[in-house]
Amino acid sequence: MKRVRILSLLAVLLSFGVSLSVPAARAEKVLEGQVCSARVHALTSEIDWYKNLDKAEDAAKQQGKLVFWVHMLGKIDGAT
Amino acid sequence: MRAVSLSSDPAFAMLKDQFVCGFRDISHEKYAGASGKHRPDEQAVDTTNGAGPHNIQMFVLAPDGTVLTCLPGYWNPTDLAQELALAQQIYQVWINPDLSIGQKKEMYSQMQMAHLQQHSKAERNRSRMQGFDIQFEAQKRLRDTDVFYNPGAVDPSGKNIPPANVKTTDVIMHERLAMRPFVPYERFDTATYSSYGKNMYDKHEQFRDPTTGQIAQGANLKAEPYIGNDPRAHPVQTQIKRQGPRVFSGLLRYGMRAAMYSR
Repeated sequence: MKRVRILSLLAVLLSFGVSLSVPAARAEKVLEGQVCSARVHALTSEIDWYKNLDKAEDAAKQQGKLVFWVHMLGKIDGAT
Repeated sequence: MRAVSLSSDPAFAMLKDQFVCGFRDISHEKYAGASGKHRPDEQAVDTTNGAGPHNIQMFVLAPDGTVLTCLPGYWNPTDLAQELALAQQIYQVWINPDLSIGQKKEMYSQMQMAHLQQHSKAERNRSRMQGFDIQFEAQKRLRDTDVFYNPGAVDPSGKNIPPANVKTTDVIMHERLAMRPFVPYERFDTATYSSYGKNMYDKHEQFRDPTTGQIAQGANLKAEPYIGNDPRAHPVQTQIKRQGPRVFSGLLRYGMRAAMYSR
């Protein structure tokens, strides 16, 4: 009986150790770096991204369009 | 966001053809959140609508700077496209010369709330709030938050909250927008509007194994660079803030002693 207890305790400790060594995070569908790079290139080369809102609004007036204005950490074509 | 959402159709095609686009770096704004820093050629993952609301806000503005919509956080490209289309419809209300400003505002609020009825079940599923954000709202903002249908039934520990009591992020967005009809961009309360959940949002994308999607064994998450409002994003500034007063008082003492002994 004592042996069973020790074994079960060891099993619990072992599983605890494993759970500590693997960060708890859900599996996610990962988009590889090359794909990301190509997509960001398309996004930033096929669309002109204004950094100045007044200029973007002027362009929108001239072109009869609305402004899509993104607040983000970092830059659309750089680190973010 | 840019590698998964903005660069995917139908959102990408709409942005390219029908909008003038621009961005503003908010990483030094007080209301901004924080996340791991990613280069354009690093891995990315998909996430849920409205995730990371402190880090991203996507506005659609009329050419005169009036806010037609604002999407907090990441948004799926199909769902984003539908919100862009709604903003275009709302703009038609804004420029309608036959409507008074009061009528326009009323129609704006109605259109925001009516749009929820058009959201598919799939979109509602994509708009489930992240568990850590729900927990944060329950633990830190239970008195003020609008993310629960019945705040009185929420356990302040944040545990065992029935999903039916938590609004999806699409509901939160449209409800909040409905209360902000045709606000000029410079007067839009972005900090309050985009406030729900934790400030830090990071999925450790570059540390994930592409085949399993899990964070790779032995990944050194502490080595990850950060961006935004987190001391780890500004190590030098943080160090100066922490040690600056001590260094200054030390210099002052040294200067006073030097002045005394020089006499």
